[in-house]
Amino acid sequence: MIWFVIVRLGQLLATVIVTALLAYWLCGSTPGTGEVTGGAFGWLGHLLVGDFGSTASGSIGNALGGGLAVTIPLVLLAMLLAAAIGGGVGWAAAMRSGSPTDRTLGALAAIGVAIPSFWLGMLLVVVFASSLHWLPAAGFVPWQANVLQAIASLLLPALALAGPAAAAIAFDARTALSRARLSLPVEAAQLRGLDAAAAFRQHGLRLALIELAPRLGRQAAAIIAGSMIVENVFSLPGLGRLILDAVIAHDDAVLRAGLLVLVLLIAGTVFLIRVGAGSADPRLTAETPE
Amino acid sequence: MTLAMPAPSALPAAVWRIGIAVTLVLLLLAFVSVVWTPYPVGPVEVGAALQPPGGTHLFGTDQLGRDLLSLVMRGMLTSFVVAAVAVAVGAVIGVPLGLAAASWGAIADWLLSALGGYVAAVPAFAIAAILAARFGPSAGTAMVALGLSMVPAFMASTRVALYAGRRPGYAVAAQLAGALPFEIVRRYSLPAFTRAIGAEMVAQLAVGVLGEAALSFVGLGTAAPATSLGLLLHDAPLAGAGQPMLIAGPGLVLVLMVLALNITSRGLKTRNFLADPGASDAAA
Repeated sequence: MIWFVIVRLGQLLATVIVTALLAYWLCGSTPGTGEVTGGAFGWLGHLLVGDFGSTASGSIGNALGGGLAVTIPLVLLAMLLAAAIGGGVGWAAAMRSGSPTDRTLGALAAIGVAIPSFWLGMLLVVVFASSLHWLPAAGFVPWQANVLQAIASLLLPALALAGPAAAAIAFDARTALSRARLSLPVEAAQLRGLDAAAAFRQHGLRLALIELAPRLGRQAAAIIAGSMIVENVFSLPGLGRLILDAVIAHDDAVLRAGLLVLVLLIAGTVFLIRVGAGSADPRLTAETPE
Repeated sequence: MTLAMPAPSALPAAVWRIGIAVTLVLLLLAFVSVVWTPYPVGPVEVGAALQPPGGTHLFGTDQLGRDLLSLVMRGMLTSFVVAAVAVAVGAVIGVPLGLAAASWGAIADWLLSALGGYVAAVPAFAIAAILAARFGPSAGTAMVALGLSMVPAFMASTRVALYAGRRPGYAVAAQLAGALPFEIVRRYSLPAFTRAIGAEMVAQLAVGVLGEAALSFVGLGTAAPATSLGLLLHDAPLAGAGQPMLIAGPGLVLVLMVLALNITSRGLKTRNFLADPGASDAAA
């Protein structure tokens, strides 16, 4: 297990360093805007102490912090919703595998994964904001102004992001759970005298989770990348806005910092999910590199 | 696993056929738009703006008075072309890398897996942002960004297809029956391999269609004079006054395209009796 974590941590570090170097070299370097001495590695050194440099419009670190204060709560909310909805639907389908309910849910999930999250966001605005006026259509109330209103302005975008991801998770969870139900460990536990439900709970769930982990990681990455797009539907001042504004303004210093933070966010989330699921896998407690 | 499995939702033949038929109809509509659209796409006719569906304009008109059906047909063409070029880029880079990983030994495999794992953490959005900042956003930058982000998927499916196709029972049986290695590859390994890669290409086509729409929606892809489903959605007025078809039309067409492509791909993947006997209808 310790090796597993070390290897994964190494991968995460390598991802961040490679991204920093690529971002530095690929995002050109407009002279004068937040230029640091010492080239790419000088920039890396500054990053290590939390110094992102600054541009005409102020400190890049502050701008990133402001964007993340929107993006991180948004993607966390979306992931929670996706896991809850997707897991629930997948569970319901797996417990009735082969039944009409199972087929209906499967068909709905197939349609769900085909829906672009930003379009779902537009539909949600039309229904819940423009017509029913239940929730704000656009904009963000800062956390320090009103926490409840801040959450309210993230609810529809989170739902839009969660929709397609929940459909994909439902699909995968259904497969993993129905496979686990018929797996050898569960059968063996039943032969030892456990009833089907207990055998599944104690041995099957863990197996399903291990199978599901990489796919959950992929969906989490999709939610984070999707949030860059969905933010635009709701005019949220998140990381995506920051990056897109930097592209338009040709502000390379902000662009490379924003992209680095985006990749770090994705790689870090996938790392946490993999390690979390890895702790459920008894094979990884063996003291060998994977 | 060796247990009898509930063949995880083997695709019914009828659904597969419908998926393929819808894909072909959408492709036809998209390519017809090259030579013919119900109304010309270019000229702006403000007097006819925001007409409801029906009447002379089947889908109605947009805020500039252009015929929405014509715009959607052109947009589908953009989607298919951008996605197809992206798939070509992804496959041309990804498949050889996957072959190399599978055949050049453990170190190459490890290095290339690390490369694939890295690219998987970089979304197409990030590559598109870099390219757009450098060269200005266009359908071309979207193609490259989407294509590069597809490389890990092609590497992975190539490796899986190779390992799965290496020693299946029927190939061993053919060898015992006296078939030459070349003949085994030609008759058994190669068809299974091409089919797996073909299925991946169709699946990635769906990913590309979604990606193209998302990128042009935020201004990192297809730009103004050209048309794309993402651009149409970007221009659709969200506030009540607008015409709901401007949001529903391009979006529903997107969903239909992606759904049809996904069904086609899943049929190719699961209804493959050679590589995966468990998924065939006979076993279900």
